[in-house]
Amino acid sequence: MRIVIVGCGKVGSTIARSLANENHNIIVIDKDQDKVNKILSEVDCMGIVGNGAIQQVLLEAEVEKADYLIACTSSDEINILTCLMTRRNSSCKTVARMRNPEYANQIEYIMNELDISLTINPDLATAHEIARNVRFSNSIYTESFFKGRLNLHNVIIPDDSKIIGKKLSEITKLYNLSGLICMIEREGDIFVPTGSSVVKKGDKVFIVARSYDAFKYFDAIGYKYKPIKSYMIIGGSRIARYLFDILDKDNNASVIKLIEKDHNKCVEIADKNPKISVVCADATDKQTLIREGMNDTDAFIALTGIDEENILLSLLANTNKSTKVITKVNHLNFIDSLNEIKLGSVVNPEKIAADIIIQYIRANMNAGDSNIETLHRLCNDRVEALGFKIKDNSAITNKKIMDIKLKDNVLIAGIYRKNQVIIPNGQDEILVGDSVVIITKDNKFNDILDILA
Amino acid sequence: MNIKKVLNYIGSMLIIEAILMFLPFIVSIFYKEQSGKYYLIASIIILIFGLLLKRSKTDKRFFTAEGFITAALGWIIISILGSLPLYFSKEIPIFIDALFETVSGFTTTGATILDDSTLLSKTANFWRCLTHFVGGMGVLVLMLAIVPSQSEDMHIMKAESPGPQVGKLVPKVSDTAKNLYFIYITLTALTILSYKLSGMPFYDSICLGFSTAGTGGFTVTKNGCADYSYLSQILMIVFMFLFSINFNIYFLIALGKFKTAFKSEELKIFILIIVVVASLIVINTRDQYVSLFENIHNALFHTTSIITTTGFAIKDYTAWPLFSKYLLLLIMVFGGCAGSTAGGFKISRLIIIFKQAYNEIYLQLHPNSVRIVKFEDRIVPNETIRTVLSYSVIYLMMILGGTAIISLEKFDLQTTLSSVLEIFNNVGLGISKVGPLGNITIFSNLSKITFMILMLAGRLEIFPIIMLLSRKTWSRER
Repeated sequence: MRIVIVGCGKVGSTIARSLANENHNIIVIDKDQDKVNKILSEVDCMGIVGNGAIQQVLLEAEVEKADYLIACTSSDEINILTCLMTRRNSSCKTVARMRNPEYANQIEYIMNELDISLTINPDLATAHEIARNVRFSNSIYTESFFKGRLNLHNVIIPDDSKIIGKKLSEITKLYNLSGLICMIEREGDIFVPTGSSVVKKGDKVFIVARSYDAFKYFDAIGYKYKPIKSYMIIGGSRIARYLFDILDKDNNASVIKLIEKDHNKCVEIADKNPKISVVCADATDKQTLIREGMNDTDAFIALTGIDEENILLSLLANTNKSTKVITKVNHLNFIDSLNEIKLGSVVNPEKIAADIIIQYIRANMNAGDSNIETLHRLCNDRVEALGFKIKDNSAITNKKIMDIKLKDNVLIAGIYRKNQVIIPNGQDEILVGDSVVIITKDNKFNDILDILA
Repeated sequence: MNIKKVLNYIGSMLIIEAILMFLPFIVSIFYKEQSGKYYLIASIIILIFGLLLKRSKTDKRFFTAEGFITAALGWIIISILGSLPLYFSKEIPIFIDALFETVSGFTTTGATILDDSTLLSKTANFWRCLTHFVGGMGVLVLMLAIVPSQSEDMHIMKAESPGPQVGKLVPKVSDTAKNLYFIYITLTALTILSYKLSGMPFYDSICLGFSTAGTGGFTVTKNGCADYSYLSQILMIVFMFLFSINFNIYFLIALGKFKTAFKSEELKIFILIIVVVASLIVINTRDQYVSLFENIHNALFHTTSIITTTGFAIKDYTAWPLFSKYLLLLIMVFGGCAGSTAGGFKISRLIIIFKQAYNEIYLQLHPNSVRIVKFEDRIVPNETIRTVLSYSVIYLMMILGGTAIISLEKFDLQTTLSSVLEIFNNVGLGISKVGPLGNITIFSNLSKITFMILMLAGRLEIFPIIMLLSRKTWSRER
């Protein structure tokens, strides 16, 4: 596929990197020569220095031959203009990043008029991710399938866990678990465990389970489930504002406190969200945090604009073991070296946005036997969890799963049929109309048949 | 330094060399020559080495430094292994000589230690010319065209491709490499066909075709190109020229963008220099010729031959006045266009430093003014100007250093200086004792080794070789 990316910021470069790895022809456009040079030296793509909203630049990028144009500059307006000018010269699908909450109500109209196929709001998507994360407070992150009926959780095994030293088959029997521990990350290495694999200290396990079954796993591991009632949020950013709207509808959330430095922002938020307690203070002052109840809050979410502040705040909050800590980090490079044990869950708006776009492109790439419904990339993009819709009969349907020869490091983790979630064992079969979750390491699948050896 | 990945890539290069070395074996069957078996054996040995190297487990880190080392180390290894058949078949019984000939082949220099190339088997001559063909567009570029693409490709391409800025034809490096080779093979086929139609024997057409394509200079007859008809020689002028212009132009033509293609500044200056220099030589040497046609033909042929760094000759120009010989030395340094198979300093670099020098003079008079250098209608970023200027200095130092070593030989200045210039610029033809009638046998082993380093440095544009020899590249705290 030929993909043009306008705007080589964090989202743009993340997408370029991922897509180039999947063998697409990528052309990056950015006004800044340095940004273009940087991406050229890291990614096998073509670079053009210029304003992507100008027709001449788009023609230089041969946009008429493109399959997708992704406008992800820092300006919503430029993104929309770029999509408009692209539409004039090409019939490709356009994707625009639109962050400004003020435009939220008119997005649908704009999309229809300008024939934009997809708009991405990284902040809104991140807020949803945070909300989902909070719901399963014991996991580092949770990815959903089948409208949340089946989830993939990434959980750290604490040092004092009861299941350390036990085999997976033992654990499943002992605690009557119905789910699947589909991958274990240990000392930087990821592998698919078998029934006789033993759980070790410091392991990060990936659990696939129905939503209510997940809590049995957490229990077994030694985490006590605690519904999140009180929230302390630092930084009145856009993400925070979207989060307020989401939490508004959550009946459990009884106390939501925001700590924000800028007085004007505080007034604005206090006006719009009367249920929130707004505190105007500098959160980096430890005394302030303690005074406002950091040690007693159920969830602590660091959403300021500065990574370093967020990290420091989270380290502080995490000293209290029973607090669910979520940290927002903007700079992707740091994520792999961040120690999640100290920082809790880490969310990265750009990665979330990039994932949505890549999922969109992958899903549209194939027609025929199956369609990608969801795509989540984990562990530095080494692990992929994909949700496929099975539309037609093929080599994998109507056959017992244990009879299907799969590639290495591929797992069929869940089947969704007639509103029921099935955690498959070898005896189950895949039928037409099913949705299937595939978990794989170091592979990139576009089609369900790719899982075959 | 991710040596494992480097060795892995070199393994790929060796596999390609092994496949290429099979071709002379086929030629030997055709001409019923004994030496063929050495090529077969060597091909198998190289294949085994290549496969062994490819087994080294790789780790992803691969940056510019690794790219340079792959190019430098790879080219040295393929040269050493490529000289084995010549040595073991005793056609070139001294190893240093066999190695020299092979390095001269791959780097498309074309300087030879042979007095008479007809003493070599047809197989050996075919191999020599084949090395020109592959070395011209590049072994690594061929590898990139064949092997499935990975994200490190850009670093490899930059290391082997000539010119100040490496431009891509299409987004993916592997596709760019495929396109380049497609254009290259098509043009070579056209060359061979034209030579055959002009009356050259079939074998000569192929060998000289390869030699022209890589702008190398190896010939297979006693008197070099003088043995062919005027028509063949005129065709040589045309094709030498065609192979030394930027291949991007051919790509643009293939896409139908004729106007953009012919607007090329580098192309226009290149043609201008050829015309001006040839004209000056015509005037300067007019006393030596009876017919005007001979005069122009000789001037144009040798001008084109040397500026494209091919190194074909149709006459011993030792009798020419010093001015003309000086002009030849000058265009030896100029070289061909970037993005072609020609060597030398490159016309695009010349244009950039000349414009920068001109700006500098202006700036001395008007210190606060802002002057930009534009090339091919685009502003040249300061970083590029800086790199080109630094390159010029290192280039000069290599010539001065090389000449110092060769001057230990006690030859005359013309020989000494022109040998270094012709070797470093991958021309293969100099003046005085290294002119059309001369060869490199007269030099000592020390000089031959110096020449080999210079040939590689010239073809790979210096930096890869320097990095290979520099301790800093290899130390962990790079």
